[in-house]
Amino acid sequence: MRTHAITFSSLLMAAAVMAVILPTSALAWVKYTSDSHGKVERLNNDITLNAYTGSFPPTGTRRDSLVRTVNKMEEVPADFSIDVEWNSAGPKRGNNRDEIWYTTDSDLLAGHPAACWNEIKRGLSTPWHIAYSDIVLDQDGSWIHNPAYLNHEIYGGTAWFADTAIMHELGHAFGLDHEDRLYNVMGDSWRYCTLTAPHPNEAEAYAGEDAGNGLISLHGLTGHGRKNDLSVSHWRYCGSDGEYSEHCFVDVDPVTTSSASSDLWYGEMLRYDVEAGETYLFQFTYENNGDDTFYDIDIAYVISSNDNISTKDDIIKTTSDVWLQRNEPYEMYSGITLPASLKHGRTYFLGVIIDCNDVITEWNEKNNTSFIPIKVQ
Amino acid sequence: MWRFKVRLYLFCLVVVVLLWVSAGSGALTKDERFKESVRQAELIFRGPVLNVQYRNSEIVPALNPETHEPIVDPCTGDPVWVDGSDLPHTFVTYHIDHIYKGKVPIGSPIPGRVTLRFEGGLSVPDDPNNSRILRVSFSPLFDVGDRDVLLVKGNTVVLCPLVGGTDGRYRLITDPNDLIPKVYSEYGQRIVFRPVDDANLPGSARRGPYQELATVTEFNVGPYGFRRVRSEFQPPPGNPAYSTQGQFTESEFHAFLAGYVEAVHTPQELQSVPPIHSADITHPFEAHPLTPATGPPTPDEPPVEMERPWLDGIPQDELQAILEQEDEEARLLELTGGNPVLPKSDCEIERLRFGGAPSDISGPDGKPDCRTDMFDFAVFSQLWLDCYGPGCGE
Repeated sequence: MRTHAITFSSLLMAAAVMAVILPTSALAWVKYTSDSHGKVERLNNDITLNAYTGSFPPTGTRRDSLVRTVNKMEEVPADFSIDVEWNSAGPKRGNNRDEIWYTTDSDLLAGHPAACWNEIKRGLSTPWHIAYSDIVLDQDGSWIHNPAYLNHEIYGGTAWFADTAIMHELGHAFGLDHEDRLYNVMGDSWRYCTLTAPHPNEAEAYAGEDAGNGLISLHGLTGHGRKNDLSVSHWRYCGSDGEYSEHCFVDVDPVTTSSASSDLWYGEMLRYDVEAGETYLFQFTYENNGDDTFYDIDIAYVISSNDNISTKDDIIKTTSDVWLQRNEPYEMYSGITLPASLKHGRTYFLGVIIDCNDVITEWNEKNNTSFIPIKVQ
Repeated sequence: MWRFKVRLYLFCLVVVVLLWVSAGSGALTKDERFKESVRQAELIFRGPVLNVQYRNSEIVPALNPETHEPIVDPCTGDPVWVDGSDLPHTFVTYHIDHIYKGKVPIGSPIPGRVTLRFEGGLSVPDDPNNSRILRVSFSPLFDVGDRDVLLVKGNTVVLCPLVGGTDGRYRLITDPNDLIPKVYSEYGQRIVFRPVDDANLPGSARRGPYQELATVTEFNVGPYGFRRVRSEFQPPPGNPAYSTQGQFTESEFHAFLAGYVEAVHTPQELQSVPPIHSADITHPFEAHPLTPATGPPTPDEPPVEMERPWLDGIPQDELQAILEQEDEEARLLELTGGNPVLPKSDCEIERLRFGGAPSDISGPDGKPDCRTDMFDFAVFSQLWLDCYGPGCGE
């Protein structure tokens, strides 16, 4: 028998609706300022990152990883650019060059898989600014540089995706510090990625909404033509771990009880138990990584037989009541009734497509989907 | 019976292997990490910062491995230095009020004091017209007068001699609201007590919500003042990670930590911890190089294996249909460059493949329709009528 009692899920849904309506203006990045001159930023916004040729040999996946991550960092509509050159023959800290390398001295990194050294300078006519940065990664770290997501630790693979760590360190190199208050790359960067099509799906590291906000605060808006990007992810904020945020797989709640049962499916990716024809609240994290605010954004929810999400899949719900401003990631629950035709015992993918009518021109259209695996009971 | 024994043996073997794998691959929980931090520390003590000084590491010339002659840069003619040369370091001297674990450090010129050496800080001698600071992302920042409990390991050996970097610092700050000395993290997060399931432990210490404290956000590097600016975002209420309940006062933390150290060590273990060496700023020192790794540890990463168990057990005809749809989807995604909004009509596919005719600018739905007809002419005419005045159409 159905009841009409107020449940946890309905409160969540109400909160989600309120969040759509109420404007928010808070930001959450962390930066430094000096007493004498204000923010400590890069004075030269066009940097050359010199990669040590030994750590980044011409063949193999490490160069691809670095180039990919730098390109993603450059997508942020902040006024800076990064060139990568493979010409660092003997990298050193504090040698007036921006460099990146892997080190065999992992015990010196205080247990961190990667770290950033910022050289901050001040001159007669120049304020305190970040002059150079050195990014050092632990050679003995369990890294993977191939973007195929099922190879990554969080998706049941054997190693950590290097792109996300490099993106985090690039954030330091451009003046950001750690952030633990929301879903962001300067916190738990391991669990900060989007998935892209086509199959096999690949993970993408990205600076994201909050770090992008901080970088724009430090460096100003770009004049390079990068303008807008929306993205959606199946990772969410779930707490604070020291100076870092903690991220978890998104949530699914039945309307009548507090939460759906689930099993760890691939790594930390959950697969939720559902019943055909029932209504559930599906959570995703939406971000506006660009400049403009968008109203009445079209979002489609689909049922897919695979982890490729597209408008070719069966669309089971569309909405146009979300607006996204560049401020903070928006974790939204959406009530969705699953088709009664879903087959018992079968695993499907509840997918989401943001900007499902392709109205908004974005610098990256590939990060507009995500999914939650579901198993029909 | 024999078969049963073999099965039992295999079962036990599988269990052991699974336990080993899970123990090896599982990340530590926050409470386990706190316990490990305490266990790893060579010295845990409480005290105030008496002095913060700076000194650069020595310049070490790079030598030709065969001739042992200094290497010279062929472009500039300057000698080449090894990594770690001339790097600013911070020497932080504490008075030791209380030792929770470890022994009185050796090498300090004044008894009851210890000097810790951190990579990073102000380059000296400082030229105010050309100042230079090195900031290491995992190292804390100290001011004279700060009071802390520190978990020390590897002083003068590692870049940051605190267990876990900033995690190894517990700041003792008088709360301006009630004037009670309390415990905070490096960045001003309240340190809170958490009960644990292990009856042998007195609980655990976790990081809670931030408190805005000037002594945390403002710091000096030499004579220069800086601020750590956190934006205004307030986390939503009700998040358990942001519960202020159970924040340690200084005296509570003192009793807790003393009991914790005893709980995680045997008396013999505590007795056998060697004393750490205090750093000496009067002595020249060389910083450890972060030796660049040449090449990945293995030539190639493991091949990409994309299992798809969700397709297991699906009847063959149905599976065939799914795979055909996947192929079609993949083909279209390739056309759109990964945009999940796929073309619906043959015309849209044709336009993606070959581009549209310049004259095809509209259609019955207001979108190009792969035909040049009256719809295109109507839009063209409208544009033409709207275009007037100097510069129009340029």
